[in-house]
Amino acid sequence: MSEQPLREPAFLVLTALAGGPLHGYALVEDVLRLSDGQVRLHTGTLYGVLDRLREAGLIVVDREEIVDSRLRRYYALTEAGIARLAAETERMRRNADAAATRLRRLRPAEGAI
Amino acid sequence: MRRRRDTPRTKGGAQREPAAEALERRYRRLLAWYPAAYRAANADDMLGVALARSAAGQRWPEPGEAVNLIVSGTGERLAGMLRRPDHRDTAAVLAVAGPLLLAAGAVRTMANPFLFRPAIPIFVESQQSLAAAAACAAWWTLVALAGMLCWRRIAAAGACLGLAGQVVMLVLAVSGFDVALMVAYWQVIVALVAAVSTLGSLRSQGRPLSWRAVTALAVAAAILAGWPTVEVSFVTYTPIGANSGTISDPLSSSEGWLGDGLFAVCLILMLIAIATLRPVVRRRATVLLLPAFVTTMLACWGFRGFLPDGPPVGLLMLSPLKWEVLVLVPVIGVVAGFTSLRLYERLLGRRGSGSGEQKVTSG
Repeated sequence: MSEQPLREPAFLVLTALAGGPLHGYALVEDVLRLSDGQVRLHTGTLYGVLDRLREAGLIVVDREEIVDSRLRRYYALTEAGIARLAAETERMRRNADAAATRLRRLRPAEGAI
Repeated sequence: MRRRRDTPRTKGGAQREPAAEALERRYRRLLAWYPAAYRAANADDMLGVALARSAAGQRWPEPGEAVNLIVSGTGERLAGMLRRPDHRDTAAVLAVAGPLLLAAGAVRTMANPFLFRPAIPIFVESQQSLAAAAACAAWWTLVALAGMLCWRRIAAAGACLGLAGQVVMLVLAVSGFDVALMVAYWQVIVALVAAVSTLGSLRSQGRPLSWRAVTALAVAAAILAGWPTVEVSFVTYTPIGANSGTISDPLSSSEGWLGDGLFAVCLILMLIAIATLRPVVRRRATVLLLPAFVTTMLACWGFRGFLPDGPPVGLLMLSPLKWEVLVLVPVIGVVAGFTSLRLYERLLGRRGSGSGEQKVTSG
């Protein structure tokens, strides 16, 4: 059976980690930036996503630091995570290409999207 | 986690906690919705994220963030419960027993004297209820069968659809149709348990009950379902005029003790079925059975009964106090039962580890 498509928060978290290991709050900020301010992850949602990605072996804890006497945990992509992100990106690209082709046919005068 | 701090006092004497500390304390309180093991692993990291998201001087968590933590924490608790094999196996047992009970209840409704004898003029409308009960009986039997045969997704889909149907019947009952409200109420509760159980048992491995246990449960269900059918076969209706007649029920004088006796037999059969389970599953099934038993006793002897042995029971027939008792007793029973079970198993674990240590020492 083929894998379920990633949900948007999970996809954005993987995309953020593709830039290098990040801690929780940096992930929230990066996801917000990547999504043009559209996706602001709540803390509970973020850790739910991180748990699922860790269980699936797509990310790991890279290291832990103590900053201002508080634990800060960094997450990093695994090889499986990189492969999954690449596959998901390709799938979304195909879908976007298909949609663009149809739209060009629908509105030829407006040119390519 | 509560922490005492020396905080400055205002002129009026009231303690004024710094904003950052107040916010942290409130976030810690919200994180308490998560299971202890999860908190031990993640709370500090999560707290750091939650505090970093907040604005300077903020004393209270944003409402959206608070709701998100409560929902996520509760979800993690439920998911954690279902990750445990003993909980999943208990859910798999309930996924068979619940639908079986609902099927028995539906057959029993079909055998109700007033439904079975539509020739009695004042109960002619009950034909609709007869069809609904027949559909319910067939549906829940199939769901129980799917649960027993480990067709878990089919059982889960069937139980969820069945729950939707029972909710519709409850709405019809509240709207004043001729479905007894109490019947619809307990059916929704059992259907909810069945739906949650089938979903919770999706990853359960192996057959939930032995065939011996299923036979005991099926016999109990047959007694529950069949007794009114036997009883009704003795009922006769003699018309006197166009819209009147006499109903003769020769078993009416003995039906009280006979019904109670058969209910006791059903309970014994259920205990036999429970006795065949693995100890950890058996304990959980017992903890769930006891509140159900107490609630049934309460309903049968204090609230005119769950089963439609008479005309429909309207919404106003029960006082608000009775409704509260009827809802609170099973909820408190289950919570108290699982709390006691947790303490008992912790004690068992300590004894086990204690005896293990002794063995090591003596060895």
